[in-house]
Amino acid sequence: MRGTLRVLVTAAPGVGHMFPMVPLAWALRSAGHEVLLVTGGRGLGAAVKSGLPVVDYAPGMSGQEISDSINRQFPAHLPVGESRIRRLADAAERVVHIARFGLDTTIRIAEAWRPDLVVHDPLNAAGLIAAAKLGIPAVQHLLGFARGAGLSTELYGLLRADFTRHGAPGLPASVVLDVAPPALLAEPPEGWSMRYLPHDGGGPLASWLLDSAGAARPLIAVTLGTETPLVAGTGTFDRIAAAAERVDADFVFALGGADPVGLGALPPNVRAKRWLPFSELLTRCTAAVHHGGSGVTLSTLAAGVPQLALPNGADRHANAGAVAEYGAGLACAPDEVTPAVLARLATDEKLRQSAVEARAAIEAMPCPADLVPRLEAAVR
Amino acid sequence: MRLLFTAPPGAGHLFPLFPLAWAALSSGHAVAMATTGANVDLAARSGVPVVDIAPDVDVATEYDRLNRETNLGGVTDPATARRRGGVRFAAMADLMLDGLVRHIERWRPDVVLYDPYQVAGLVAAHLAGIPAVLHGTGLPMRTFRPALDAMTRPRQYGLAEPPTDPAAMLNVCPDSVDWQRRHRGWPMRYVPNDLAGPLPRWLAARPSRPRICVTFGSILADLGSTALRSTVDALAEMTVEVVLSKGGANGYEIGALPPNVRVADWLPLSVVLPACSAVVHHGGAGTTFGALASGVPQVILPHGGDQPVNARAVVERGVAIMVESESAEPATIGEAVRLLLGRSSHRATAAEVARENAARPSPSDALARIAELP
Repeated sequence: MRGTLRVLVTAAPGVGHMFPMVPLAWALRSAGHEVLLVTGGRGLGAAVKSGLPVVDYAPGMSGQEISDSINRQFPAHLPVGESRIRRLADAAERVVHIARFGLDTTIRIAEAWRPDLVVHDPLNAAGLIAAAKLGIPAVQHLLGFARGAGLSTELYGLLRADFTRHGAPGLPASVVLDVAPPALLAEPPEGWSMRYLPHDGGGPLASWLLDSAGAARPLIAVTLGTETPLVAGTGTFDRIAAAAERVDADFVFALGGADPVGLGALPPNVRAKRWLPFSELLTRCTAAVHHGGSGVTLSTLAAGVPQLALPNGADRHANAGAVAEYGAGLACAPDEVTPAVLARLATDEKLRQSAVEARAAIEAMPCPADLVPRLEAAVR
Repeated sequence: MRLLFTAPPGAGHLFPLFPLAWAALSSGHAVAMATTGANVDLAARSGVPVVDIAPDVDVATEYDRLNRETNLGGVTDPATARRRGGVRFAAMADLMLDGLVRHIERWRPDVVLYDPYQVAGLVAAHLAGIPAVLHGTGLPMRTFRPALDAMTRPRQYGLAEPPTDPAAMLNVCPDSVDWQRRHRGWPMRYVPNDLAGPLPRWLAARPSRPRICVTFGSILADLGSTALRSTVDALAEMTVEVVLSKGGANGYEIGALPPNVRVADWLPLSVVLPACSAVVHHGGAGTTFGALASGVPQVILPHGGDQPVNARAVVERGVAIMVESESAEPATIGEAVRLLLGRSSHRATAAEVARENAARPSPSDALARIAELP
């Protein structure tokens, strides 16, 4: 190693923005580099489950207050809606309020801590401005199948006043990390391919999960993410439960932020848990049903099991589309879940085979730990 | 690979294992941490999947009892220290062995990595017929034999003789610090870790004056040491910023503090030390090696246990000054700190050792060797 680097890792205030960057942060830390995670709201909850040092860029604001504040200022960006983003650049105007969140504080933190490298999720503009201001490279860590090309340029155009105010002369030198498996992309990957490693906080393993290996009946994991149930309620869970009752499989609902009290009566083959280590759950499951979020889409691919996506906005159609085109999953609208589609998910051999191939494609990608020497070289 | 890490109660045994666990996760391996007692909640902050291997035992009470009966604070006689340590860690290992064996059966690891005092790790791996790898946490040491020999539970598994050696030992001590030339096992870079978590903003800023870290670990309140007060008094008149961590000893009363001192119940030294110009501490392995890896010169006031041995090693290497703790006057401590900040060679030597540590094989490199174990 050629000297210790300081690496600032910053994410938009959401669980799904922070968790996917933790494995790279671990790779850098375990090589001896200093790492600082900077985020807020629900992103903070995800960051502190990494064991790494964390600074809050929105102290005193809860995750819900941050979501409400962004949604109030910019209703078009509700995390549930009609959005069918495939290229993030096309959505720059709709994500700029998220991209600006915590901006001034993050830049003050960066000025005080003086990193050698900034890693940021595409929807975090502070990373770009801090890197440009300090004259250091920025690493844009893509999160899923929505393509990032051109987004930073669009954000620069929209946030010119912020760049100027902070004395950032333009966009920084940039490296892009693409976690989408090349085999599932219609075009070449952007920047450097990096293997997506499922992570959602770790922690205590539930005993029933450890003992559930080798169960006779198919087990299907169901999640709608953290934000969706908070915005849209538990109606989709109720519809899935009604369809599940007529399917020869067991189901586990991971309710995320949803209140279990809102759920109707559940059939005997469905159990609901408020929060579950979803990536660990997937290693015991036959298939997954989810909202199309980047993290759960890639985690299910990495587990090598078929998935049914119910995309409902943001970049979720891009994720669901890529998986369906490859043949490793199905997609339908949240209100179109039927017993037939769930039965197919549990039993279709072609889906299962494609999912196994997708896992192999992911496992062939360079790991975050493999990219550390390349990132060290990029700084010097 | 599937790697099962295991540590006995006590944060000092748990924290050093995470950099390798993180390296494994970030290389696509499956990892779990098997521990018990208060360590379960601590480990849950690491992001690594955790399993409690003695969930039905009131480990906290048992640990406190053993801690009282076999406390090493103030014990300087090595034979007494080994005997007491053997009793304590054998008792903990006997409590954890069944749970560890059961977890290995259902989780099916390829290898077990254990803290040198977690002798149940070596025994359980032996019973399962998988390799065990000792993970060093400071100066090179073998599996803590007094505990291994004093365990009784292995007989329930028909094991008359304890297993002897692990398949490999990971040695995190830079060779030049290993003054007794023990050089045991595979060299691996020491990466300081204390599961830092949320930081106050000021801690992420570089100091404008030389920053001196003062910590006497979490044992301080029990010992009733005057070392902390003496150190604070020694630094009061100097043009430095003092960062004082009570090491979790929340109830400890220091008295009135001079204006150049910031105090916190607990501070993550893995974050604090890289920005410091010197550290004054008790010689605990985590602080001693954290300072080595960060290139920070040290003043050490050892209180007992392994602290005098740690202090001796870094003094021999020329990166630390030792002060006899019981008699330390503020003037003596102040003189030592001034020496480190001034023209002495300690600072340059500390930077040299930090470079030596950084040039050792990384945790990722060690994993590649572990993957080749038969």
